[in-house]
Amino acid sequence: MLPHIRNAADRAREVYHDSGAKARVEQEGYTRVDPFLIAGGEGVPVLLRPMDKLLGAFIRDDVSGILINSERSAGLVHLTCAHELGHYFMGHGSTADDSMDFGPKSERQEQEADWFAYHLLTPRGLLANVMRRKRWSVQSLKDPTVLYQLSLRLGISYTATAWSLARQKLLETGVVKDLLRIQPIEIKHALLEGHHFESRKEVWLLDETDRTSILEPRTDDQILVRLKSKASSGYLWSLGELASEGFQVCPAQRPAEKVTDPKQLVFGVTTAEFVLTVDDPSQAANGAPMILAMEERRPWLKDGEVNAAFETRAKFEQIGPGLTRVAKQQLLSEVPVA
Amino acid sequence: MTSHDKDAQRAEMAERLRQSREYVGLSQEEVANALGLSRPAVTHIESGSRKVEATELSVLARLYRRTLEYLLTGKEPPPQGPEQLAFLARAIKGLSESDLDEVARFAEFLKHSTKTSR
Repeated sequence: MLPHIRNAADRAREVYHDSGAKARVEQEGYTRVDPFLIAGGEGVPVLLRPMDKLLGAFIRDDVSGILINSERSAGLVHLTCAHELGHYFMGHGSTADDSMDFGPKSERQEQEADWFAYHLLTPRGLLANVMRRKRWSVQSLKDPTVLYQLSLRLGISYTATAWSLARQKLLETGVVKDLLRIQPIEIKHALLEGHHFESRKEVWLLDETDRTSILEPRTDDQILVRLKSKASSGYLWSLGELASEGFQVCPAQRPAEKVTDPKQLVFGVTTAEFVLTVDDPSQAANGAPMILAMEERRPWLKDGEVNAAFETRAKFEQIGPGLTRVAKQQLLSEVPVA
Repeated sequence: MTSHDKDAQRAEMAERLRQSREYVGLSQEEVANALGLSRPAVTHIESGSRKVEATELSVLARLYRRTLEYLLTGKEPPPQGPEQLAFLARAIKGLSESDLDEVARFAEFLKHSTKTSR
């Protein structure tokens, strides 16, 4: 590793630790580093605006700031923000970026910001933490569906996730190139078979292994919950709580032959799937995590015993024109309350 | 000055206030809270049907990172010349006019910001 790149990686590791991002993952249950929060901690306003060609810009001044194109995917918005933070933390001057692809021929400053961004958003400790929760091995990351779900949890694109695994020496370059022959749109299609499907929205697959996590989807993403079901013994997952929490729920029964993992074919146990969408995005994006809770019980028995319960939390992110939530809070905190 | 002129002026100021609020992405409700007003009062201010007090205007100028003069008259000192934003020309070939404007406008926004003491 070249010295200037090593410096950038070291700086990113420091920031991951000192900004509280590490604690947010390891103690609070989040699955990603939020570059908006890190900028907020530095008093650097981040503004999203619809732009044509620019992905982002960093402006160095008495108060430095980051401008990001609001019309890109969440993954690209986050990566751009981390890249501009790289310019900030590495002491660079004002700069603008219209691409996040940096090769060995790029300017030194861009290479530094690029490595900083990757080491900030995908440090080894974070990857290990998320993989442990999800019971994923390095081997299972070679499955495009798993890789896609990992990318959602990290908050960066499928492609960026694949390359970050190469940078962290977890996957060979050749394997990454193979994985990139498959595009997320195909993966989403397979996940939502038979469901209403919009190519631009992400599809989160949630199961038992997400219990301890706080996930951060966008308000218009679709959430597919896949749980074990004992419907044959008369148990049903109750969905009332989800509705009262503000989700629209649409059950889906997958044909049994779709279950490819023979270990799942336990007698009397099948899989139940539900697709959740958020009813009112403005309510969901108020900053507080929403609780996704479901119980499996026999519906004809009042207060019947609960066979199983599932609960996880989702803190929805709204990405649109304007300052980030944390930057708005800082703006409002300067004005004396009337 | 005729009352008609006054109405026109007020309508233009109302529009500047609305656009400045939308630029930072605050809701009418958030602004109402900052001013100690009801949300409908902010709606009326932005439609030109309610007069804005001087004290309110100075809070809004602070909140939106705009000068009082701009909010009142729409006049502002010309933004930084291209020499300060030369990095843009160097950075990217074929950058659209509106992208350049966005960066210049954001640079102005930052100029009116003060370091937050944390």
